[in-house]
Amino acid sequence: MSERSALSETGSTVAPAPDLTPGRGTTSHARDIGKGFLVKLILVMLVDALGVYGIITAFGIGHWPIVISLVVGLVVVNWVYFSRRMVPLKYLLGGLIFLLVYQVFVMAYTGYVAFTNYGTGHMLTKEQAIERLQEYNQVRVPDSPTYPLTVLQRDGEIYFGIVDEGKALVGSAEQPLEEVSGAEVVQAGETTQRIASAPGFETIDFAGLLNLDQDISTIRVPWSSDPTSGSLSTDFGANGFRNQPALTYDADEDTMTHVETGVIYYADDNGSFTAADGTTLTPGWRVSVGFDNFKRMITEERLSGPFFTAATWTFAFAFLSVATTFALGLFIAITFNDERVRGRKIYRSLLILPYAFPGFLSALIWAGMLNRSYGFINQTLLGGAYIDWLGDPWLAKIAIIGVNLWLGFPYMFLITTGALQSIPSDINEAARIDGAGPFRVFRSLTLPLLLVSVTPLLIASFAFNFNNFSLIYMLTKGGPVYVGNEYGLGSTDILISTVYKIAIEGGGAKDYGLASAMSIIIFLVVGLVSYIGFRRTRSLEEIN
Amino acid sequence: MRRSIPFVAAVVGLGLTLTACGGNSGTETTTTKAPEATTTSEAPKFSGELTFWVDEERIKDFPGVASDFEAEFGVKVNLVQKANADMKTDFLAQAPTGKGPDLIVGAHDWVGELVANGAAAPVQLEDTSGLSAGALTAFSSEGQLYGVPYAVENIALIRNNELVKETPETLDEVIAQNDETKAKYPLVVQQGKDGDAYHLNPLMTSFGISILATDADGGYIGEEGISGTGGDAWATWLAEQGKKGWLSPDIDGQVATDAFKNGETPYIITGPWNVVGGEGRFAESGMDVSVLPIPSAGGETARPFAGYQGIYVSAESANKVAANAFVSYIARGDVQTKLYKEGGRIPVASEAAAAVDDELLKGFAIAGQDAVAAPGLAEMDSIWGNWGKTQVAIISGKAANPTDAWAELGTQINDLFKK
Amino acid sequence: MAFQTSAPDTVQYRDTRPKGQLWWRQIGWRHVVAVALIIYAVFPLIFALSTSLNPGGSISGSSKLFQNVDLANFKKLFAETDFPSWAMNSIIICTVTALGTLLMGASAAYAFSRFRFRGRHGALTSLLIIQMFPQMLAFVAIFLLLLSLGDVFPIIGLNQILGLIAIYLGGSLGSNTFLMYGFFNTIPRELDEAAKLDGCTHAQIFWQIILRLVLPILTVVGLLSFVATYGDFIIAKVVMQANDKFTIAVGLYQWASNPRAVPWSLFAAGAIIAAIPVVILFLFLQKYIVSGLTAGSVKG
Repeated sequence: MSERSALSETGSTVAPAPDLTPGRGTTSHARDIGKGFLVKLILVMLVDALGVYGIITAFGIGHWPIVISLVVGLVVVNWVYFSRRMVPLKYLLGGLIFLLVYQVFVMAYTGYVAFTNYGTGHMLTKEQAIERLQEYNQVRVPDSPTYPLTVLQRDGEIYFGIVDEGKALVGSAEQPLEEVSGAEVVQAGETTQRIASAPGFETIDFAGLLNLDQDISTIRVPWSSDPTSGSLSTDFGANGFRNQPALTYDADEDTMTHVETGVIYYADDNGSFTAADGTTLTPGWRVSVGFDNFKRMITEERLSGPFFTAATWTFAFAFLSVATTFALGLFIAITFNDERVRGRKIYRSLLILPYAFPGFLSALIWAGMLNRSYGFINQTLLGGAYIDWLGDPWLAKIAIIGVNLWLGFPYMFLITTGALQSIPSDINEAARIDGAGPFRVFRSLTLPLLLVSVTPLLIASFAFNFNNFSLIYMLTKGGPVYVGNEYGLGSTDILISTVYKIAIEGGGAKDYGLASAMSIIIFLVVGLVSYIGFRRTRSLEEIN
Repeated sequence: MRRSIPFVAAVVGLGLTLTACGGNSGTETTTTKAPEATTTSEAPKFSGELTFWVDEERIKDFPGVASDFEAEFGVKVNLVQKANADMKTDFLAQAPTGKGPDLIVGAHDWVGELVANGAAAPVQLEDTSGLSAGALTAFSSEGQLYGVPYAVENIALIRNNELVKETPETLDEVIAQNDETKAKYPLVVQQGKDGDAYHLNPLMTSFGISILATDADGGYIGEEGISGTGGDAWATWLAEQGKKGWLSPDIDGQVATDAFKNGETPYIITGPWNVVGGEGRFAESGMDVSVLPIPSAGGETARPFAGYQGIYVSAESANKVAANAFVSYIARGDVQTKLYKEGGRIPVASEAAAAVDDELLKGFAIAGQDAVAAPGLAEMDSIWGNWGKTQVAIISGKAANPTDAWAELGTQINDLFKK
Repeated sequence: MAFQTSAPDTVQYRDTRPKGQLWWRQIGWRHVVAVALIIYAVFPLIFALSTSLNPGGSISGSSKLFQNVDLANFKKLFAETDFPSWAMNSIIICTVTALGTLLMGASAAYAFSRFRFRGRHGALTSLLIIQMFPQMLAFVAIFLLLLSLGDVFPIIGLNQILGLIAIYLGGSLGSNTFLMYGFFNTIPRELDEAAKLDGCTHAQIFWQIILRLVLPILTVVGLLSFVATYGDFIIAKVVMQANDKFTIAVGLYQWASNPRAVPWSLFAAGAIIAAIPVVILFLFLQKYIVSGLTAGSVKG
């Protein structure tokens, strides 16, 4: 780093020469504080207003994480923008807030899920699971009819009214059905009757039901004071059904009891009600399982095996994708960076076309074109050849890299074109005058300069391709599959698609906990590789 | 350098040249969040509206019925298109939050998974006698009904009457018929790279096997039903047909329908979605076709899967009352007749089924008389894939020994249930 | 202080145009390369175009191009589907996201390039690495996040254009910042110093000097961000829950995922139309991307 630039880089935080520091130029300050400060003030005030509005709203609905985040956020924003220090942060804060909310949260959430058994059978909270078990185990009392039902209201409480064996019965969740006198009964069907109105009760029609605060489909009116006689429930206020619970929940003991068999199910550590003989009730609920998901990845061969198999190909695929797209993109950028080439504009525009198409569509088109018997490539281009592009393990790999080259070179072309602009052409000119050939100029001057700005992007591109799930899925679905593989894994599956097949698609159950744990491992791998690559770039940067 | 540059500001899109010397350039959060303060719209869902996820294929069935329902009950039904492939996964993830959809359309074989995850609410109907018993059983789990069926689909053998007029009794004869017809293929059945077990199932069952074993009542149990002599015969037969070329992983759905449309084959095994009821389908393209039951390949009855379509109510719906009203409405015979008229699917209400007047759809109904519901067990998700892939491996000759590969599939299925 | 952007026509090889063999060696081959590459680049799209013009056409079964030329699919696209509103949503979302990305990325790049502060290297590295998190499971987290945010700020909740934009902006810092950072570093610091001596604040330097000089990279990043957002359907389909709120990518994805009969020709027509804005954008921006900071722009 040159001495000169070091001076300017000290910034405002440690200012050796205050009058040279940005933000403190006395002349400009005096002249511009009015306008600049005013705009800043207005913008920060707007943020504050929004924040305060948000805090009040979140407070109102009891959403504490948001309240806390907003309070912290507001303090930080005001502090940063009204402080004279922390100039860099003034430029970074906006992006950081978005990054924290939308990226870091997603990561943290995945991290949290990795330590739970979230997945098939354990999607709910315990409260929901108990509710659902009870709801699912309401059994219609044998041979009980469907009762035309009337929803009534008295003193704010909901009552159900039915006619059973000629008697008008009314009851609420608190009060078992009992006969009500003076009810007006009308014929509902050929053999059934309905209460039209009852003295002291207000009849609620369907439209009225929609405006109730309460969900009447959850109300259970005890049939009688005998709890084993079942209860009356309704669908949408039109029909009543007499149901009996097959399971009862004991909140004190935290157990479910099967009414008929008397079997008791205890809440276990895995988020299920389990009987002594090991049978469990579904659905269960989501619980923390510690490091179990990570342990399984190591101890279960059927999980760790495919992981290692896919790892080599994943690295090769990601590396080759970056290498080929960069090489071609750079080649094109340099080829058309010569002012003397006529029609450059049109060439460039046409070459950008693959990038203009939504990527998944292109992958689908390529998959069609590569069909062995009917695809355009074999049929027309290769004159009826019978090459199994997507069905042969090696050809499929080549096809994927070829298609990804097609998809990716315009990106590299764009960024290298952009980056080439930053290389002053007088350097090249000077080198040429010194007698360096074009290749020499490229290798010794252009490429190193270019790499400084694009290497981080190459690393990012590597990471992107490392997890390029949609390409693999749209083109080969990981196939050709290994015959008889239990998860349907194939030779072009990369790590992330392996995770998808093992933990989400296959195995008969979605296991988000395991999938999250695997994602984290993949992240650690790709993060580490990138970090090392990054360290190396930094040394490049220091040279310049 | 004080020539200020409005152009930059224009590129950045904000008139921020104003702020030039203010040091506030980091406040960009405001630019995207600012409108919040002024907007108070998008109130929480009120109970007078339902959100109903429908897939790209069925979205056209419902608008008429939804507006009738609104007229009768005063509840608006918002149809939201959701990719079929995402519907179940997204529903399972969103239902527990209470903010997912109130209703989704889906196949009966989702019951197992939706119930195991507590996502679907049980449904009680006033009167079920008007609906087909098979459909109700398909949407039930342990005696509870979890969805209201409205249509059934099955595949059949479609014949191009311009190429052949008579159809033989067995599949081998159908193939032999082409010795005279000399079409490019005797018959097409879509497979694709990953196979398609659904379209091969009728042929497989004609060897006397079924993907899962059944109990005395005909209910599926957690055990494979594909091994034994029938299974060996099937695997061998598949390998033979693969060599003949008409059964191939290269023939995916698109290739198969194109071949049939272009007259390259007199027969295709497919469902109504390719035959009738929409632009570009065989009937609408002006082809003269007949819909026939699928002939046996292995000597026993060929049984296609019956795919029942129905509507599930979210267990955490905030609008249960209105949602229950909607599914009860869908169970009505007259409503199903309307659904049939607008969507062109074979209804499951007997009143509506009697109203089916389309010859081709009637053909499907007849072809579906021996159909059985596809298993609804949660494990099927993974079985489908492996089943198709194993068959494709046998067809393409990649499995060195067809019967061994087939036996391996049986083992895998049993392992799934043991876990 | 001499400071000027030289016009793109600053030709470096002012001498006579090469002729004959020399022309071939220096320039002619570039045309050959161009033609070959264009065939490779454009060919699959011609194929898609052919499919889109053939009602009932497919993407795997047809081996003859342009058997049928019929604009029915395009008419249908605009008359009978929600495509026009998808296109509008895509344009709005991608434009705002691109502008937001430029603003945030350029500010961040400026901070990293011009100030030296504690944790600078760490912050740079973390920015890049955080973006590498595989978002395959993100749909659950994003749904929950927007659900909660929507309770407080309905306009950034589910099914909201701003909600989706905010998510995209959350992911925009990483590699974009890097691309710009590299470019910012090539702007000589002498400029800043001179400006400071002139009494300009850091904000003035950023808005009035630096941004102008990094125009090529701004256009590149803007375009990259636009295209990346434009093609995303994975996040968009989680957030957007009503047909008229879909983006083009989500809408087309829905069509393509029909398990029974994909309307390939309609789909291809949609994709052809979808490509147009990006191509126009590129045509329009091309001259800024290659405007060239040639030698002599800075003589500090």
